[in-house]
Amino acid sequence: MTLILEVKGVSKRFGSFKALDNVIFHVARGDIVGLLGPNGAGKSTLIKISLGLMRRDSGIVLLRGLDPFFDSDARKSVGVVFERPMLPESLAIKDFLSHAARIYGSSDSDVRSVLKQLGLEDHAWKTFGELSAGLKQRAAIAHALLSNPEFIIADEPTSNLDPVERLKLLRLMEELNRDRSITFLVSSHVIYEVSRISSILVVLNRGRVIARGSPQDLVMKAPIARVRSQSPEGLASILREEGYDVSVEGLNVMIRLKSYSDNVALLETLSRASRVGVAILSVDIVGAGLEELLRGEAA
Amino acid sequence: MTRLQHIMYIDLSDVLRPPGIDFLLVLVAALGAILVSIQPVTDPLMASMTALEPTLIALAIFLALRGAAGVTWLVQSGVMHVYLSYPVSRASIALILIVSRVIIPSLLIMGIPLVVVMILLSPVFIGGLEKVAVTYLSYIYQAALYGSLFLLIALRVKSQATSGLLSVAVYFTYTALHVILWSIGRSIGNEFLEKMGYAMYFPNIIYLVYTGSDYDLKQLFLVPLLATFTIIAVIYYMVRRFETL
Repeated sequence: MTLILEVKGVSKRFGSFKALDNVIFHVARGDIVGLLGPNGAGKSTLIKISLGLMRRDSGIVLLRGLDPFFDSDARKSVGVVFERPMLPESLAIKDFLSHAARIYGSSDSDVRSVLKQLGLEDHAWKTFGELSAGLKQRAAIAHALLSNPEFIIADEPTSNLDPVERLKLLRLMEELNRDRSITFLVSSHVIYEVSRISSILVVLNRGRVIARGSPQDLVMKAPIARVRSQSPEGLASILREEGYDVSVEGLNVMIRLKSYSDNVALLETLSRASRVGVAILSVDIVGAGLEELLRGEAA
Repeated sequence: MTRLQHIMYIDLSDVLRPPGIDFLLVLVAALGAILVSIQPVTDPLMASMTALEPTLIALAIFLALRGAAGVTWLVQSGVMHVYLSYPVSRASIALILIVSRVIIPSLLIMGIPLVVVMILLSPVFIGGLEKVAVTYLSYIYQAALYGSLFLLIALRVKSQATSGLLSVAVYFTYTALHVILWSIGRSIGNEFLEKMGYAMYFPNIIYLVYTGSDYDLKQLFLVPLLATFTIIAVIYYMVRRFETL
């Protein structure tokens, strides 16, 4: 396994706030690594430190085997999509991308190709400020692709996109990973999105890595049963008596299971509840959400 | 074009974008023309200084508000992330910022009124081009000192308003300090203080040189040394300390 990014014991403080606390993780070539965590977990800080945009207080960061803070060669063939996509506003997108292409050693035909790939051809002569949020995101992705990347770091790349655009972007990342062997580090707080495409998930909370593993391992370890009932409070009290961890959200009763093998026992309890007059409308067993992972249940 | 020239072009397109510099250029050109028209200047040194003196004040404000405070906008908006994510060293990025946000605007803003005045008073300038060039360079050094100081402030505070205000304050403090040190030196008879205070404004020394007055060699080097030191400080800060938001 060849590593493209190694983060060893990295800590970072902002005054008294500990943004990262002894973070250890790596990204292997060819992987799509999903970096999960709620807002303020330290994802963006970790990404900026991994790119050498921020200093670390301690620890080691090796991007392509080099320290990115001191060695700019570490960022060769590394494309970046930042959380709030921003490109210079004084040039038309096409002009700016042409200059960016030269900086990365790409050509004008590469610019035309990414403009077409990202559907920006009709907007090529607009400045970045004139683009909608979704188009800005696409322009930032086009910029990242011009680096002839072997590694793309994307900080919440789907945050400004509508559901259709999100799906397209996720597919594009999958294709680039499959067809051009581009490695990805993608941060998000939407577990559903990153677990779709990632081979590895890393969960960050309060500056610490609290879980790491394949999406199957992490998400399926802590399944949730979502039971829709006409009397959710009545059902919840029956389940609590049986020792289940339960919460009520509208007509839904959310039950945290320890494993998928708990299904049988749960269905028997629901059957008993139904016999005493609690109407059960539907039962879904779903993977863990970010909240469950953060509770440490998947760790 | 090299990789660095492409980044510089991108940054210059932000610094020199209208409105701002276009109005300023017209203003300083007109001001220079008016000033040399209403004063009986017959010497290229005096004619250049008459045109460049008020221009330097306008330039200092431009460097503070568009050049340096513009850097804080780059940091706050995230464009600096893009610059720093390129496979280019931090020292190179610092140099690009100094050239595109200090040196080129200074050459342009100080150059335009001088060209206008040279056209208007062409008989005065014939035979005195060397004096004009040296005077022009002395103002550029002075502007480079101000501009790199403002850039250092901007990189440190990373707030547009604070950086703009601090830079203007630093400019007026420096100007006041140069007068205060010179005055104190004169009043207490301290020659060193008097000479150094006087030398804090480089065009003063060029005036002494060309009018045949007494000056020390160290006076001649004070502002260029201060400017060089400040530029090195900007590069050092960018390489060792600077981080994005």
